[in-house]
Amino acid sequence: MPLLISDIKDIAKKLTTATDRKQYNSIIKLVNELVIPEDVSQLEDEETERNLRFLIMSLFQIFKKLFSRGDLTLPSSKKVTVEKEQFVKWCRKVYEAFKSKLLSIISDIPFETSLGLDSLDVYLQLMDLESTHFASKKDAPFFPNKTFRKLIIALWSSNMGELENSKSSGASENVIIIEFTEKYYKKFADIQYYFQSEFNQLLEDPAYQELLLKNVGKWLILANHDEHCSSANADLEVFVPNPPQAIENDSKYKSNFEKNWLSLLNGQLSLQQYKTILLILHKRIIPHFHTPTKLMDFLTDSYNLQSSNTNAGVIPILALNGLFELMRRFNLEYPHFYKKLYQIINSDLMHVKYRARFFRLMDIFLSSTHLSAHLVASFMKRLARLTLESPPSAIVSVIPFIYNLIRKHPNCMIMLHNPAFISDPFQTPEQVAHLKNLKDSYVDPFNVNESDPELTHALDSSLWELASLMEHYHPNVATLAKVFAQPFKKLSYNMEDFLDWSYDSLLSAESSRRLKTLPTLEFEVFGSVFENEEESSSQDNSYLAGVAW
Amino acid sequence: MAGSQLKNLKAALKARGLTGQTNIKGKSKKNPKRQAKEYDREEKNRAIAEIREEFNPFEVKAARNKRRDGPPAKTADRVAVGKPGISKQIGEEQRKRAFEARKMMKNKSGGVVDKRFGERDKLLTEEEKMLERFTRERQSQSKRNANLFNLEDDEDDGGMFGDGLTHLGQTLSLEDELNNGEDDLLTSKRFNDDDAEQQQPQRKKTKAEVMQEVIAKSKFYKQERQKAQGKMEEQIDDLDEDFEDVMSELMTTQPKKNPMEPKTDLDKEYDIRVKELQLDRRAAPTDRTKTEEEKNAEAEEKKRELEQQRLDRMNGMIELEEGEEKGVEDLDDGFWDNENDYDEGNDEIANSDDDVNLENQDQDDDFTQVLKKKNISISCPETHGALLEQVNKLNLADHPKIVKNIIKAYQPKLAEGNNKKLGQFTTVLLRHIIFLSNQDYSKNVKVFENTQNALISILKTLSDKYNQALSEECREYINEMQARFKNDYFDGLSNGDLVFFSVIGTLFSTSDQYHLVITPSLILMNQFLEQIKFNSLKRIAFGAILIRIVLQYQRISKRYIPEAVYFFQKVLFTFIVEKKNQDKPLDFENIRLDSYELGLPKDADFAEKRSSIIPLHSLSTMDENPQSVNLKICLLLNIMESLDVTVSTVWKELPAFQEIISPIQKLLKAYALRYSDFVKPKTLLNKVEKLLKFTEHIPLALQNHRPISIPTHAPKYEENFNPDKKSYDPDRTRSEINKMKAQLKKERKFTMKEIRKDAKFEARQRIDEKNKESSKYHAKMAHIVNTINTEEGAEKNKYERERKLRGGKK
Repeated sequence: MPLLISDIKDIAKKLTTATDRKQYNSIIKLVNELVIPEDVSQLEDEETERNLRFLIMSLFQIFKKLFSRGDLTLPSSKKVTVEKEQFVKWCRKVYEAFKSKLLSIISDIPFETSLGLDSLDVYLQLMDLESTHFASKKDAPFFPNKTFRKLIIALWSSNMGELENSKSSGASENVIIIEFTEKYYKKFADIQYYFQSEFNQLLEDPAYQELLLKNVGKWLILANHDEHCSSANADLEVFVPNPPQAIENDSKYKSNFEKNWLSLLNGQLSLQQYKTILLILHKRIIPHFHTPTKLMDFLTDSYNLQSSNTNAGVIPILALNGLFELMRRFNLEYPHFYKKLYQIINSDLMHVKYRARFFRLMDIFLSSTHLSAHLVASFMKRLARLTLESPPSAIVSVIPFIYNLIRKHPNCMIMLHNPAFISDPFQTPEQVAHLKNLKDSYVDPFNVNESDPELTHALDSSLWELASLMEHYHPNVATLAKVFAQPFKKLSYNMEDFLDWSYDSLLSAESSRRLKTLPTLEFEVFGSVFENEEESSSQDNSYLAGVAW
Repeated sequence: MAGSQLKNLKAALKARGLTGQTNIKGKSKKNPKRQAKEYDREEKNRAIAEIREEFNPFEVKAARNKRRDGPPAKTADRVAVGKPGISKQIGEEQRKRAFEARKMMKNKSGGVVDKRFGERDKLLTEEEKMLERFTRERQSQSKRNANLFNLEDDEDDGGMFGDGLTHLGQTLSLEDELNNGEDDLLTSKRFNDDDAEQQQPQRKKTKAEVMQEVIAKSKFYKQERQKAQGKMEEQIDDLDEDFEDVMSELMTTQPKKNPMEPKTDLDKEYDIRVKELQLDRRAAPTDRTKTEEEKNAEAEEKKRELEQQRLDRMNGMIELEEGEEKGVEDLDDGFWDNENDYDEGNDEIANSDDDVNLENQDQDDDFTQVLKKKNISISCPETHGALLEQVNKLNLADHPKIVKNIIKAYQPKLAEGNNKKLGQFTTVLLRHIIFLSNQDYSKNVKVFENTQNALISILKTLSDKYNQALSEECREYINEMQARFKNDYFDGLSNGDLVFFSVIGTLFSTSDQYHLVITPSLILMNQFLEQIKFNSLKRIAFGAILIRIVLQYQRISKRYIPEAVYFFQKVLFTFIVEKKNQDKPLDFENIRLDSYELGLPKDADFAEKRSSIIPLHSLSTMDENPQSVNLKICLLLNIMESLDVTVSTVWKELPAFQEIISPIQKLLKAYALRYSDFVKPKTLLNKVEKLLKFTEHIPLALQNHRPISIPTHAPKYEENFNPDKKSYDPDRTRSEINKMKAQLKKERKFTMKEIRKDAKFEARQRIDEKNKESSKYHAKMAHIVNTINTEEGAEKNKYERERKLRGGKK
């Protein structure tokens, strides 16, 4: 028979107002009352939930009172009586019981309730109180790590099923962890510091290791932001009034953070999580690492995924960004870099949304004028080949890219213009015969399947693909493709203008166009729109052959 | 010259001996104030003028001396070419003179005072005037010659005192004394005569003699003329007197008429006939009924013209008037001509409907009765909902009829505003066609098909006139579709969308390079082809139909569609793939599939003849049996047909044909290898082989531009250079014209400058004058005040004195 709100109120009032310690036994009664019902679905009932919340709040008030009375503080001097010591110990025991109840609420409720959030708030406020009252001496710096560690375990064992892995990013959508991140983790430096160190210790503990590694989504939520205490411009506060000096130690924090990341990266990652991590890697992970080169293995593995797994998709493309960051800042040497880069360029690239990102990087990689013409020609040919089945948005970024490459490597002009094959009315018969012979014997030497860009013979081939794009159905793409048939007067195209197009933006550009002249009409008359299934279509000209109503 | 201006001046003065202690010795002498000699002063003035000139750089306008040779001198490199100060002064003086002359004439009426003798006298005849003038001329001439001291020349009249010698105011003339008291005129005359007689042999006729002669002559002529004049006047008077008589005589001969005589009926009838005939249109030959051949030729011609316009648009040559011609806003005569066309079109609608054609009229009557029975009133619906309300009680087959009735009832000529209503109705009709396509009419496919075709052909006729409303609606619908696809992906699409794309394909010219409706819909369709996950038969069928529509759009312009290649590869691979668990399905690792479950079984039977036609209405039921081999083969056949069409119309002409076709070729080969009785891929492969053999695949030469000439910057030398020659233009007239132009420009500049100077001068003068006037006025006023003051003071003094005197007396 659960207590009614009025009863709870009664007891709480007695406890907080009266200084008499005789009432203290009823705390146990209240704490025992705080249990999650066997059938968790009961919690969805408003009545039960309200009761429990009230109970939590009143207990919090009671313990706050106890803290202020010093009933929970271990006396520092040894003069105190045994009685007093026993009393404090008893109080602490009750207090611990209350805390574990709160944690069980946090970890065990498998759906979204405000009760969990309330418990989290109360728990953290208790931590705040502990830090002042549990310190070894008065005003001594103290952070209640053990209490905090328990919270981490509780948070990580909370399981909200569906919400744990969101479909788009692979990050957890557990409300409690989100609340914890938003309200506490992002704001307070000491919480961040102790979180990382406790997490690191927990990872070493085989009892919890699996639990922590399994819930990467939670970690992602926690780590995927810019407010780290190690970053220079983050303006963070401290949570407990008097934290130990250790939280100023950036390098310790960084190494903890780094260790945690690395052990998580070695754990089980879903594809979405993989993508999310790679997306944030160069901006939000590498700067907070002590020795970012430790990420190299992870990145090269991701980058090499292409060769081992055909289903890797965009992962190598995404890994490229982090890899580039490492190469640029930390002198990472990557063997056969261009070969790998060449292999990444496949038909998937033209159909994914990370294309713009890849093109920006590729623009940097191919900007050197010291690259061999064969290599550049291979890249151009490969990109051109892919445009034959790409959406206009991809074509629109490939065309100026190739244009810029040709400007930078004029040797490649031969792919657009091979003077040996120009026929001239003033040629002598021998020359004509020679040209004819040349034309007849010409076979495209380009090898599509060659994986080394130096060996594809692309330079002896020609960019017919781009010439075909001049007939593209989209008038703007066709016009853009026609630059290859015009004199190369433009110095270079600004790639940024061409990278972020999509069907949506193309269409909205069209629909924002105003009707100045009326659209022209079809003058041909069709007997019917669709083909007639029974009759043959000879007598009656239908618009769409092969489709019947 | 170094140093300041002042220092230089001092130095120059000293050098010429004009300043400083020049007469040191003289000073010691007794008479220091020696009178400067005249030549001294002249010398000095010249020296000063020279110095002044030297120090005023603006007094002389100088130009660089180009012909200087010899050692450089201080002033040798400058040559004086003008004196701006002096020329300015001259100009100023001239202006002043002109201004003064103008001022003299100011407020005088008339610019020219005609002082010629007798010009205003009306009494004098021409001859008299001439005579008088001549005389005066001679007189003035002779007066000029006359010497004051010529005693012999005393012909002057005695009017002037100064002419004769006088003594104590009395003339010293003997004649005067002798002839005193006699008639002045007579004496002078006589004297003159005598004088003339005496002097005759020595000199020419005197003026008086000439005058006499002239007077005599003129008098004679005058008399003659007067005589002639009098005679003529007499004759005229005679004639005038007789005129009355003549007129009266003439008047009497005219007969009198009665104006009020009533017309007879016959006359009236006659008049009416005449009038009628006058008003009757003149008989004109009617248009000859054209023969069938001529009609055909005309239609052919029209078609050719339209085709040409279409080709122009396809190549991006846009003509504006084409579109404007069909504007809805035009309400002029041409608009109503269109109306006639429209009616004809309406008849055609009926004709195209086979069933209705036979008993058109009866059917219509029946239909109106049906409408009456069901209590449906015809009104022009402005929204699709309103149309649905009218239509919902009717059979599907009756929809075109009610639509036709609505159009008939709201012909633009019947009432104002109908035009707009019908425009709105056109959009409603489009919506209705799409709406019907989304409904489930799978039971009566035939009826639905007829209805749909009828509605679409009505829409087509309407589109001619309500193009604007329709195209705006189409663009609207395209945006809606995109929004649906963005939110729900494939689930947001429906059969209606496919129908929409096909319908606008029939309505609009799809071959244009840029088209306000077709271009966006092409983009959207390709987005569908690219982004739909083709993981079920329904979706593949949807894609297959889209491909058909897209191809149909490009049937004339033959533009390349990369998305189609993507789709073909994907779908062909989807049907041949075996379950995913196979390690290396085939050698197409670069194609990523949306589904690996839809591959055809290895033992699929292709021997049976199947239709490749996809029935659109069955799209919704296709997913009920996802492994239906028949359906798969049907789709495959359809897509291969599309592929066939694409290859033979679009791809074969592209330079990259080989590159486009090679992955597809591989897929087709895989089909041919696996299904030996599958004919289609084999024929396709043969075709491709043949095409590949005949297309030339050689390196591009895109940059084979005409060489651009290098601009020459060599200086152009003129042979036979002549510094005096201003122009070397061989064309005479042109050089003349240029010369004139230059001259004109120069003159114009000069005149403008002059006018400006004049205006400035005038302004200055005006200010001067005003100042002068005001100072004059002030002086006058001061004078008046002074006089008054003095007078007053005098009077006051006088008064004071008086008072003192009186006071003293008292």
